[in-house]
Amino acid sequence: MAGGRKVVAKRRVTTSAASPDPGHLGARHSSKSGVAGSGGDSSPEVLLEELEELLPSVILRSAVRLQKHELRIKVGRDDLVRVCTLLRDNLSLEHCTLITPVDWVTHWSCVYHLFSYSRRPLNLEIIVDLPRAEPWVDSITPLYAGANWHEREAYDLMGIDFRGHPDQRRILNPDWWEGHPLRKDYTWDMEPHKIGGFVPLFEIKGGESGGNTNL
Amino acid sequence: MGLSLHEVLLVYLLTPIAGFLDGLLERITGFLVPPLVGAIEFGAEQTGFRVLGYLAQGISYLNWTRFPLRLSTPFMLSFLTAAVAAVLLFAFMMVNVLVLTWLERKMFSRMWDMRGPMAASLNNMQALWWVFVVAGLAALAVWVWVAWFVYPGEVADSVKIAGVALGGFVAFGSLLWTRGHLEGAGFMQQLADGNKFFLKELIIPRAADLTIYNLAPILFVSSSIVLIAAIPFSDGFFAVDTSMGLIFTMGVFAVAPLAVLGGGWAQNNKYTLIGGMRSAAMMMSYEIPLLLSLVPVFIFAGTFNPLEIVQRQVDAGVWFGTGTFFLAPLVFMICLVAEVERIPFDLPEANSELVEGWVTEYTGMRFLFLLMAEYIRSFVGAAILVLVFFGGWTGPIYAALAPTLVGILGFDLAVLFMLAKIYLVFILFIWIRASLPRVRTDQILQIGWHRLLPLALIAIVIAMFMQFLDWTSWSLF
Amino acid sequence: MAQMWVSMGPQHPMTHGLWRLRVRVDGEIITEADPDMGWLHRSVEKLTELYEYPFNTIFTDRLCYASPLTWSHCYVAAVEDLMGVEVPERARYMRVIVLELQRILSHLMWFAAYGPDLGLFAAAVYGFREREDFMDRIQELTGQRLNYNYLRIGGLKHDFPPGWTDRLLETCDRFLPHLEEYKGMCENNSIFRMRTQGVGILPAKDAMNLGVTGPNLRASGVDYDARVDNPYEAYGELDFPKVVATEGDCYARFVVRLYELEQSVGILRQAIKQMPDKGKYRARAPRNGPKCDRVFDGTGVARVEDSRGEAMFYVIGQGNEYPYRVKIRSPAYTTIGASPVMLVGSRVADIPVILGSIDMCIGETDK
Repeated sequence: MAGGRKVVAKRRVTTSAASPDPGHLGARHSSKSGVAGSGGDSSPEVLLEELEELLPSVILRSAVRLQKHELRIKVGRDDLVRVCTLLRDNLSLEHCTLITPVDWVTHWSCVYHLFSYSRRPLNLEIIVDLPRAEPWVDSITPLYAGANWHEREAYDLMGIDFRGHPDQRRILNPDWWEGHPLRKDYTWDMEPHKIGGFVPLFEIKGGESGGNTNL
Repeated sequence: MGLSLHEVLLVYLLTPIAGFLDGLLERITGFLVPPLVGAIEFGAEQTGFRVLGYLAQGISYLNWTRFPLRLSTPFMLSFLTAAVAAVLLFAFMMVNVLVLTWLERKMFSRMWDMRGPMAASLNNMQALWWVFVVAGLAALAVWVWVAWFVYPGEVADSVKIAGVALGGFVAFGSLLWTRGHLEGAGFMQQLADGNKFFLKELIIPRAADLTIYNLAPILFVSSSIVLIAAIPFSDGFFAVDTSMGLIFTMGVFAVAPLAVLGGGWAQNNKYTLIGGMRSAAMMMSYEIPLLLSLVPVFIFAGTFNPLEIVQRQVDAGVWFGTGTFFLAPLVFMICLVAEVERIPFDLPEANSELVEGWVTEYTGMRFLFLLMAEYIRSFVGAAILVLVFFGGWTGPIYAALAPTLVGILGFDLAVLFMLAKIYLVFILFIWIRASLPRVRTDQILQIGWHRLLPLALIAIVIAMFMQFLDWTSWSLF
Repeated sequence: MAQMWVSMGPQHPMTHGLWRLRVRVDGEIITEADPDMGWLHRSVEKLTELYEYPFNTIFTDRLCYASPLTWSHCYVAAVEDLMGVEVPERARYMRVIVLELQRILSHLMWFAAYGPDLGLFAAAVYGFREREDFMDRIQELTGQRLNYNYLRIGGLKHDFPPGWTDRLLETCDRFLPHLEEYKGMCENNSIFRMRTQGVGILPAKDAMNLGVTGPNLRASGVDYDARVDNPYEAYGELDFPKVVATEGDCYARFVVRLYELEQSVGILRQAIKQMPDKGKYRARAPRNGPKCDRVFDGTGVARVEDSRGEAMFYVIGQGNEYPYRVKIRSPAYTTIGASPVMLVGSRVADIPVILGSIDMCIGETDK
């Protein structure tokens, strides 16, 4: 039994919330153990420059919100995995926070929120537009394992097909559910669904449910 | 040394009663059988039912003087004695279990700084309570009479059962109406809980192995009751005086894991199966140090009879627990906690991972009895600890006080003293349970094999050494 | 011995909610784990599209029974980002106070739930005993004991009652000695350390890749705390240490949460001291959100440090009083998704220990 464990409580240097000194933060955190990364600048403008230098003509549109340390870029569907690989391996955005599928009635969008621990608090929003008829996009689960359940949820609720996903099943709804409830054209005038979906070991005879123990 | 319960029952109670009953039976048969045969024959003649005629013939052919149903034969007497003794022991243990569970809850409430069982009491709203009890019992009686005798077969079974349950609920459940008062010390909670268990449905899994499923609780509970047979509570209060007392008790202790394993398997549930397996693994690793930690006592006392072991401690003027510098009692105590499956060693019913472990599929009274049996086992274990290591009822001061007390009161308080010591040990169990988390499966086996077994062996070596030095004559302890 | 699947849940003492874990066991060793979610799905994301911005706090309050305030705050912060509302300074400090109070409540709830997972029922009783004191404070403040409905877009529902902060400080003073009791009961308890040390190890690299956040991430050695490194509300003006452990096992996660209680008390004291005495507690917020031009403008994001990790709301406006899309990022969702990494190779007896240590809340997980 290891008895001598101690909590490492690190005291923080006070900085202003409105304009934290990115160089200071970056320098402080680049020396931390356990965090792999380039230890670069936490400014979104620098990230944009790096991206444009490494992947020219991939970024279709970009916007920077300095106060939130946020960079927004729009990339094509085919470039997503390339961009994400670069971001994870070279630009040290280690954390896939969220994947949001959006149903614009004319088309679909997938919004990826990435975050960097070593260049904190730099965060990145990648927007991918998908045509209405083909709601599919390449999965980034092989890159970010944390994206697994987000992609499953996006498939379940919005019906986006993530190609290359290792285990694309419904997650919040039962497997027998029809339709994708967060779509804007999802019809509501149907029989009320009830949670169930397991196979009963024994059929119970009689009753109004006709032996279905799920109801 | 006084008489055992067995002898008391046999000599003073059952032999006279059996003799009286035999005489009564002889007279009754002598008076009743000829008129009965005559009456049946008369009936057969009048009605023409030949079956009645055969019956009367059969009864008259029986020679009642040649084949008497005699209770005072040695076989019947010993059988009756055992039965009555078992019932008395069971009642004794049930009362003890009530006290133990109450004590445990009260201790928990003290240790955890929370309110214990105080809600159910008789003192509040007494009048209303009695009204409800009487009304409930009356409803119960009326319902039973109507359902079973007035309209037999016309009332569905479920309706009958519902009526009984309702009456019982009103009668006993009204215990719970009197809540919020500290009076009664919360003892009524035991009755309310028992009432709840009585009214619970007995749910049997459809795919269970019925034979073993029903057999396992019987085996577990009955073996737990048998445990008490060879335990003396004073030199005048014991069921059986046998020279193999402790070995017998330890042997009976080892029956229960069989029931746990079988019951866990028979319920056809994965949680219970894992629980049963864990129980078997624990039995392997804890029975051995448990027995080995008793060996120092056998070395010191030279006997397996608990009465004699206590007497040897009185003669020597020391407790055998001190002979191994409290090492053997410590090992015995830890093994005992594992043996009776209490926290931190309650793996077979670890309820955060295995729901309720091997008792998951037992409901109602079966569950209640299994629960009670575990308290009985704790009680017996604590009793053995007190007997063999800590002087039993003779105790630190009681041996000196006893003559005076007997002189004043006219009777001996040794049983109460013994019980108080057992409860003290049980409070130690409660304390352990209140403050320790559960140990994992592999860790528990590791503790058993790597720690307790060597410690028990060391205790034996110490005991041999001390006995060689004739430590009992030092009068140091 | 053949391997078998054991299904735990949706009703099981281990689950702390309504979900199911299927594990394949070889004897007692877990060889495969498959969490099955969705038993408590209440379609909050869909419901929020049907109600106006201010009304949606009733759903966000109900995301997690243990920390409604932090969830409502996250939603409200996202909507403020969307609408460009500036929160008054006093309200920012007041928010820090109620958020830290909520964090203490949530962590105490977790502590109380973690004890029985290990068979240590004393922890449950102690945890709820102290929680009750803090519950009284929050009841005085909001009038509720479960879903407080205290956050508003642009500020808070009402000002603190007179003398409330003093009573809160007194409660904190009463609480800290009890925290020492917890440490004595758990850190000095060798059986507790046997059960938790070296169990369910999550290395820092895996933790980051799997999207694990919050105390669980800090227990793995990544010293990221959104309150410090990406400050929101008034956290940037306060001075407090981050709690970081390096081992990444259950004990590290336990210790991080236990010391975060102390940290929260420190933040509370500081925030009460630094809070301006006078000032508005709420700013006027517009009724309508902006119209989103296909995601580039008219979206609001808030990343906050929830009691369980990084909570995030992503709100898209459509130019009227209804949001077009609300997306919830639940920290427990990804953490439970990462649980097979911790579970495989452990024993059946470790399941409640590991899953209790990641502090699940199924309400926010199933949304």
